[in-house]
Amino acid sequence: MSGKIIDTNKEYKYGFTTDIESFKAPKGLSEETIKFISKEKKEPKWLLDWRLKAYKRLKSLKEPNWQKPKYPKIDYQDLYYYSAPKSTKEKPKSLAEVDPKLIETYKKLGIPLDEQKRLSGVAVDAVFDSVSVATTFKGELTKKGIIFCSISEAIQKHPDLVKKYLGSVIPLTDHYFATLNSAVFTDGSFVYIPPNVRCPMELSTYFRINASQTGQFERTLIIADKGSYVSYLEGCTAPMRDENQLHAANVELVALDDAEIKYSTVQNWYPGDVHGKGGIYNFVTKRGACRGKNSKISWTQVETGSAITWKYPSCILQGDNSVGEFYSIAITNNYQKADTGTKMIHLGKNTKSKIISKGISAGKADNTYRGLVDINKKAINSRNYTQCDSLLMGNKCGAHTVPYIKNKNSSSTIEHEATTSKINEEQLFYCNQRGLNQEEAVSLIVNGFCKEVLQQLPMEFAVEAQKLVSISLEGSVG
Amino acid sequence: MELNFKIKDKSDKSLKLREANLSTFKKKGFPNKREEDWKFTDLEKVLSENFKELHNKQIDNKKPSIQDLKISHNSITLVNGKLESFDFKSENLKDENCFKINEFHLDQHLNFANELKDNRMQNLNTALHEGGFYLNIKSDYKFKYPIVIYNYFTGVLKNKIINNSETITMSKNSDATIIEYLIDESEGNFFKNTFKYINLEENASLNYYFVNKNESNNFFYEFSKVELLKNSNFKKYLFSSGMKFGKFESNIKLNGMNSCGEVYSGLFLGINNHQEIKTNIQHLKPNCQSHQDIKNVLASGSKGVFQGKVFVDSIAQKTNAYQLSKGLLLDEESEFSTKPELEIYADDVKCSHGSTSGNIDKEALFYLKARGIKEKEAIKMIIKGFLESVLEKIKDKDITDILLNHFNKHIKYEYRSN
Repeated sequence: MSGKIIDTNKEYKYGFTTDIESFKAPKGLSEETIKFISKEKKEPKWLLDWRLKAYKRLKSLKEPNWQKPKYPKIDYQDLYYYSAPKSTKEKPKSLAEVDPKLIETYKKLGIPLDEQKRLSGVAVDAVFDSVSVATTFKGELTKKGIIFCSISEAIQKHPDLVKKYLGSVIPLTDHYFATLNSAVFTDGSFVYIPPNVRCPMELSTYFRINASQTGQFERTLIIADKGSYVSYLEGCTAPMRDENQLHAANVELVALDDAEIKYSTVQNWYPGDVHGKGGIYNFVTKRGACRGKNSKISWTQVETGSAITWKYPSCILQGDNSVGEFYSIAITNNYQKADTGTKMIHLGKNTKSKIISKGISAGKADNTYRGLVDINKKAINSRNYTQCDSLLMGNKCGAHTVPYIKNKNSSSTIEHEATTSKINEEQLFYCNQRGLNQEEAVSLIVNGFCKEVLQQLPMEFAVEAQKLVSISLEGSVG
Repeated sequence: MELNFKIKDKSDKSLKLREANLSTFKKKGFPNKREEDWKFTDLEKVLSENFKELHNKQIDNKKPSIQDLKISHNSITLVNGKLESFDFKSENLKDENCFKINEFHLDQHLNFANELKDNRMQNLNTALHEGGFYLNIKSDYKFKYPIVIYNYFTGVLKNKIINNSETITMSKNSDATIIEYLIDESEGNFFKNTFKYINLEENASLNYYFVNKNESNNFFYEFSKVELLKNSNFKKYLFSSGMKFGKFESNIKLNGMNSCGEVYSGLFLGINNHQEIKTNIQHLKPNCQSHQDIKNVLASGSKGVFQGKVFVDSIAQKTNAYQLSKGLLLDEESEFSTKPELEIYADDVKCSHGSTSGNIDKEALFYLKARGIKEKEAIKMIIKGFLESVLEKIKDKDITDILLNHFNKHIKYEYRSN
């Protein structure tokens, strides 16, 4: 695999690379690499031990293979597990010290990194390859007692919180990619909202893979203490390369009594070119635990990028009266493949969950919804509602629905419905008649199809997501 | 669990074939829940919990007590899986060549079994195959009366494994209704592994009903492979309430334009019953239709499973596929698991599925009680209404009566006041 940059795909506007000298760990996966990462990040011993434990476990695990999209074998020894822009080796103390080239990159991406000029009121933690570059708005958040920083910083400054919650939702032993992440995770965001605090602004992370032959293994941990609220956004981009790059992140959410976490993702990793060459393998483990009573976790995702998307943001509804929600749009075009969905595990009484999934498949793509609703014996009076709709454009693509539904409790109700169809020709005709061309009409109808999910996104993201929906489908009509 | 499987066959060639199949089976043994197809029904566990050993020794047949259905019909009688006799007098045939029936031989069986080479239960079935029947209905013949397959189990069948198969070929323009009527008078527990191969040629039509007369403490696995050609029509109705363990798989290939496959089931599962219905409907040609309607009532620690898949090939445009599965859970000990799956590669299609599970609708109950109906009666009415909705499309009154009678017998819900 060569790391040559290709620029044949005009639709992907984030496909540029930033020419920054980077500092990498030795190639390959080994105890040495893990020790190197840990040393680089000046981690305490317990964390190194934790990583090594994960590595030991990893050696006994096999890569899962039950998923629908198959991919060529990944050579884990041919990857860099740590890559940092050289200039950040000495950590910058303020924005002025951050490498101007990095700032420029984020400007191109449209991230309001510069606190002074910000308009949108979003606090951003930007992760570039393996290290977190800068976190904006720290002052204002600190006043409220909110901790929003990179996970590396949290390990140094708030070790008790990290120690208490890290791996408590996704255990070390979970599955291959989660365990791999536990062994080699490099950076990511850490959020702690103290009791009864409503986070005054949207918190946001931007992930970018820049260096070639690099895997990105970020780890995000969000804790909403009793009675708190936070809305968190995540965006992702990567340069266009003709190689496949691995992204295996772990995201853990913990909501205590009466707390609410809203987690939104707009995933726009490089999807590969029109012939299916290159692109990101997005193998992410996202899981939230509604530990406390009346807690709520809501996942919203717009998945338009990546060569292969394979993830199931899940909710473990432990607390009584807790609520889990999952809103998803997955768009696949050309040779993209997505196998995504959610798991709602009802353990507490009166727990509720809602799943709305919209899959759109065009070109030669494959789009699968796979989900689990499991209502346990003790979860009396629980409810689930699931709706999965798929839209097919052309007869070379596929749309699949694989729900697993288990009801072990007579006082609980589960409702599931799914439909698959193509764009309604009458609707198309109606739009055409009113002067919209075919592409505009499709974009309008698809946006309408996705409306239920788009509505869940915060304002700024919703606009971006809407555009993304249209762009992703360009060239798929006719 | 000890497996005492002894293979015998007159011909050397068949013997070798049986041995090869048995060794394929033995490599992995009975399927368990780690396999996707058996995720909700761990056969290995179920069998090892209920059987200390399984053998395939020949048992001397005890004469079954003949129990006729009170409708005009033709009959095929099977005893412990083997063809015993048949009677088509009701039909008043002028031409004896309207159909052909014979004891199923291994060679014939292999013609069909070869397509399921990778199915371990099929390997086991072929290795220990004991019999069954082969029925061929000739072109243009439309049966006047239904064919009842009396499926008797008699004698001491303790720890016995019965492997048999059935083949039904419906030639062009033929039409038949088959009622499989299971009567279990056996002693001791047995496990039955059956493969059914059903082929429908152009314009053929077959309605297949499965009903059991009495309760059975035995273990049934059945795999039906159905292939439909142009304009043909297959309907399967499955009413196996009162059976301790059952897994019924239907693999339906819509391999001709305008063909139509339908599966209906209404089950009441009682004390520790475990039944699974699994379907795989493959739309391989344009303009085909499929319809599935599965209703399960679950009481007293029973477990109901429905795994239904609809596959639509990229050339199968204008497909219309619908699937509905509903579970009515009556108590805390019971479980309903479903996996309604869609795999679709064509865009001009209408495919949908719905699945619900929950308790009795409180509003419906209130409505009935407000009209002076006692709670116990009201619940029974709701359960009956829920199951009988599956029968709506059946036009034949005789058959509807048999099925209503079946429901009356098997709805055994002990109402406990909260």
